[in-house]
Amino acid sequence: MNKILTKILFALTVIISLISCKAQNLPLNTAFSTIPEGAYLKDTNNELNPYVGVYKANFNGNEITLFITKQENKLEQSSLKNYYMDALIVNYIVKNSSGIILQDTQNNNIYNIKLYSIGTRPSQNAIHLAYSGTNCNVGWGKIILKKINSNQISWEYKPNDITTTAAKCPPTLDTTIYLPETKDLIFTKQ
Amino acid sequence: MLARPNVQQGIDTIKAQALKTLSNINAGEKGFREKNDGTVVPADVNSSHKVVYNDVTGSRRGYHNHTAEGIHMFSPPDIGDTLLGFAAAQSIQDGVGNAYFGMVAAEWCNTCPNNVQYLHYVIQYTGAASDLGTGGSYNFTAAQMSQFILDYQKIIDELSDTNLNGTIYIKNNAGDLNEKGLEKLFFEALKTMGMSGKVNLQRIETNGIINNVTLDNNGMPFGTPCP
Repeated sequence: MNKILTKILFALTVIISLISCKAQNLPLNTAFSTIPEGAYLKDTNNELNPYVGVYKANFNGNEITLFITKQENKLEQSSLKNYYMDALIVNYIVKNSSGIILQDTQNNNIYNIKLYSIGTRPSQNAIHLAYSGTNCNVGWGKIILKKINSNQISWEYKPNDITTTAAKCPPTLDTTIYLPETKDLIFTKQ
Repeated sequence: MLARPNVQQGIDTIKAQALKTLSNINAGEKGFREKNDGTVVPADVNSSHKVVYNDVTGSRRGYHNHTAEGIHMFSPPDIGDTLLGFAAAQSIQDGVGNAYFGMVAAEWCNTCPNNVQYLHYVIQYTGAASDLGTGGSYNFTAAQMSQFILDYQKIIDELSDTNLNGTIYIKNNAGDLNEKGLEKLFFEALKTMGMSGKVNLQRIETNGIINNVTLDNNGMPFGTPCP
């Protein structure tokens, strides 16, 4: 009897340990300041899925193509902690009116540009994305995508300002902002 | 120091530029620096969302505007690249605290003169000289700066989320941060940069009163007028 009891207690201990070791699942919009180390912000309501796809728009003579994918369990390395989250990852190509590629982040080895979702606003049918900016972080800022219908999303980009020194940002780097700095730009699904 | 005629003239130019961005999305960003001999010269690059000081050697201070659509608070590069760049350029006799960096942004405001409110802040480094420059704790790499910038945006998103904070930190339905929100953002940004307590923040009111901004016991920013 004692042996059976010991085995049951051992099994329970193992199960409890496994549960406690598993990353804590939290909603997507958990406050950044309260996210515990190693937690997982999960898209339990599938808010991100409707945005996945390839979208195109034209702005000031340029053609912009967005490649939006959903990455689950993305490792998010912040300055003070690491955690995981489901996120929309946006890569893009900007071409001028002659078809020449001005910027292509699909193979992001050159720029190391980051553009991905950091929150949702379900009541506004909107997704908030963080943009690291181009070289030297020029143009870093917020992008808001809103789902209009199954084929269209609207785009708003609010770039921020930086100051820097030539020692930190060599003048040889291309710091042109190619993303459309505008509101209510409609992208159509391809 | 802010009252010196040439510095005041420079600040007026920056204010005018901030005002211009309210009605013209392409007006852009401008900056100046004050050299050690007291003369004021424009920043070397002034463009849509970027100001560059090619060489801060021989300069003690700088100023710049933020455009209307962006965040109206110092960004991580403003702090980590520019303020610390000016601070590192100070002589041993003057000390790193001799440097400061200013920012002005303009916002529409129904109850303000001419319907415009100016957000005017100045920062000053109070840490050790040994933490600056090559090998220093605050000599941030480009990768670190990118991470600070992404964290900064997550802080903004948290402060502006009404489900998390109500309307304490925002001024409108678009979720733009109010004065409390901007100042809270500044202190949270310092935390992510490992610089809490190393940079003083001052808010300059339109009537000329200068407030030292700190956090109370509940972590809320408040201003104390300078004597």
